[in-house]
Amino acid sequence: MDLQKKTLIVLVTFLILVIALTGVFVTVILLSNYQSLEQKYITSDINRTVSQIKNEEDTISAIGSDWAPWDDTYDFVTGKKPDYVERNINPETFANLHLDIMIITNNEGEIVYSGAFDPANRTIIPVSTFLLQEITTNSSLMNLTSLHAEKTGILMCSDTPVLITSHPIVRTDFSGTPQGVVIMGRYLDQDNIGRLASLTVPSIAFYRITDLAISSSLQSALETPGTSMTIRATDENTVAGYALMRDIYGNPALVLEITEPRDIYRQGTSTVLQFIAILLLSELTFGIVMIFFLDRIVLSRMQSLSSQVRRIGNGSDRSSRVEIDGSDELYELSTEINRMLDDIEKTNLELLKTDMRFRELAENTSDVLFTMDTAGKVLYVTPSINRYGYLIEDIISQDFSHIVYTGDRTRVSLELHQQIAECTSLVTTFRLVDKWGFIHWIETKNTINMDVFGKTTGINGVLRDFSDRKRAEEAIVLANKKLNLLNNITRHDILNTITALLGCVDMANATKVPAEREELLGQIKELTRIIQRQIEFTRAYQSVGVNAPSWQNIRETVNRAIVNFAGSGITFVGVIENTDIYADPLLEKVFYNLIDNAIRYGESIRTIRFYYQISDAGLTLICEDDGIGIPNDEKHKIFERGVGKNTGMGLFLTREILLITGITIRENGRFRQGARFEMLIPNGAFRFVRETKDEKRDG
Amino acid sequence: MSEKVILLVEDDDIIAKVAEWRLKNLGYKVCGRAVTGAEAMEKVVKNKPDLVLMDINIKGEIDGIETARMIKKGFNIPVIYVTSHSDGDTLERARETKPDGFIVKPFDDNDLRVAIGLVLK
Repeated sequence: MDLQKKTLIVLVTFLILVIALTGVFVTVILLSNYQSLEQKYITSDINRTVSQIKNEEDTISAIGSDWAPWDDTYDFVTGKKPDYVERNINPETFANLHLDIMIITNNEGEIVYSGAFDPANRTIIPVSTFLLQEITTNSSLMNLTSLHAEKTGILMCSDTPVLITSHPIVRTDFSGTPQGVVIMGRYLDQDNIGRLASLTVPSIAFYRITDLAISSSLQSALETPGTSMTIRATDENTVAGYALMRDIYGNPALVLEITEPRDIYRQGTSTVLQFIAILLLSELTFGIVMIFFLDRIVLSRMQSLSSQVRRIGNGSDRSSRVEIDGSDELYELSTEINRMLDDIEKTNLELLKTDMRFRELAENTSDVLFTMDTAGKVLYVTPSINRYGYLIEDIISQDFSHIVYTGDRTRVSLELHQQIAECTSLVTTFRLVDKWGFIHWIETKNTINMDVFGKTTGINGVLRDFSDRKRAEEAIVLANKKLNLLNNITRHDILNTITALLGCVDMANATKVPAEREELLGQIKELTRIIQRQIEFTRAYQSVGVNAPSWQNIRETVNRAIVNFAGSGITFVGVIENTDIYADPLLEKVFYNLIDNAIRYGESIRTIRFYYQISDAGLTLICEDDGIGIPNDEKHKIFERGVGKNTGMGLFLTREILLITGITIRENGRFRQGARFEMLIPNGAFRFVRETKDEKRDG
Repeated sequence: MSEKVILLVEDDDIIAKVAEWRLKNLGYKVCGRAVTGAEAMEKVVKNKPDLVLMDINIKGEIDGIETARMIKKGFNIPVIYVTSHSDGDTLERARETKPDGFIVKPFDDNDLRVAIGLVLK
């Protein structure tokens, strides 16, 4: 994820969090405040309504206190003013005083007057029997114990609650004994509630405490000691305040309900939403502006710098440099990056030169350089391994012993492990098996590779092919053995011949017979020639193995031998690829002997052919003629010394020369069809030569 | 003193002819000449010679040393090697047969007389 995306995500997340937290905080605080304000207003309205009801009670009590301590009332009760009712009590009185009930009793509790106001007809009607019964049985209303005794409150009637007041009837100057009570009442009916509402709040309602509209929870809340009111939101749009009204007995009687629209709350909600909207808009604007400028000033330039550095790092154009406008820290950073790139390029060039120098050195040497880890896995090898038929990929990550001849593998592995354990250098030899199965003698010189902490990390080594030297050494050892053997044989032969020669001389001296002496002298002469030939053979044979074997081109060597027989009339056919074989320098002598033998003893020979065949055992070079061939009973001894019609040394010498480098020869032609000599050159002792165009044309 | 009989084992015709001539000159009787080990054994059985002059390098499957070992073991007849070999291995093999004498080629009458005389005295 790039820096731009990260920054955008962080900024957006931050803004969302800020908006969310601010929104929650503002919502909680503001709405809480608005709710408090709403409750405050509702509480105020309830208190005002309750206060107004109290005023109503005070008013009706004042009316009662005006009518009860009055001489006329007093006299009426005592029977002295029978026209009292007629003169004082009429519908207008009820209407003016906003009374619905008026009852006057004597001190016996007997009702001397009762009347109720019918506002619809503006007439006085009888008080309901239930109310009369309730009043007369209510001892607290009939309290005559004190001149000033009064009782005002709510009386719960079966039909309508009544705001009622009771005062003892005394003289106007409060003298005399109370002669009864004046009871006045106002129904808390719709008319009076409407009047009350017009004075306080419009939405007043009264419910009996037992009304089903009053929930048990509300009832419990209101009846909780110390609590006279409670406020509850009925819904999103309406809030209600409740106050408990007790009757004149002090019992819960009515629940005053005030309902009001939640204007304050709605205003608060609206304000919060507007605030959040403004906050959202402002922070969105802030965020966009912030991202715009952050992107323009930092992020885009950082991205540009990053992509330029990446492009340079990817190698598409290592010589290019980063370019950032401005004069701030980013510009300074780009300058530093460019300076660092210059240093890196310079260092890389130097490293490249050094690397190329060492690579040329390593890859152009005939030796194979390699590195392997402590487990024996090859980590690096120079391309010179190709000469053994292996690709570098064949060797890398493979165990080093993979290329070691099976017979040497255990020893080499042990030596390498010992070298690693002892942290020493190692020089050892082993046989390497190339891709074609040929064996090469290898000398390896290894050194331990260590890290900066001195811990062994692997082995660096050089493989040097000394197969030629090894073959030469083996050939020289073989040649020495052969020369020693031949010396012994030749000395033995010569001594034998001398023994015979001296004997013949003695016999010749002793004989008196001229013919016998003549024969002995002839034998002496022949024996002397034998000695001469034996000595001459030693001269020819002493060259065998004297010079180290070398790679010789078969075609060229055969051609040089053929030149000696140019006038023989023999046709030479050569079907020989451009091939080298590893042989004693007297190889030409081998071909010379074979041709010479063929011409000497082939009798009817016309053609000599040279060609070769390839087999698992190696390369077989064949010299074949169309002469008489070799009788079967002579084939097994033609390579022995002294066997033959001439010196008897030619084929013996031929075999000895070839054996110096492990080449064997045999004759397997058919008698009367021609001689056929097969020379088997073992694997590793021959190689095919890549011809140049000139060589092909000449060949 | 009766004439001593000597068996000559030599595969070279001329050397055999010279050796026989020299032995006769020295007064010995040559009971025969063998060119192989097998032939030598046959003539030892047949002629019971007093001494065998044995060439080490003879024709056939077995050489002179092996033939001498069999003659000495089977017939207890003294054997003198006649050889031109001087290499250590051959001489060591020859010594292991506890020969009665060595005559090195080329030899003359005196060499034969001394070697044979020491064995037959």
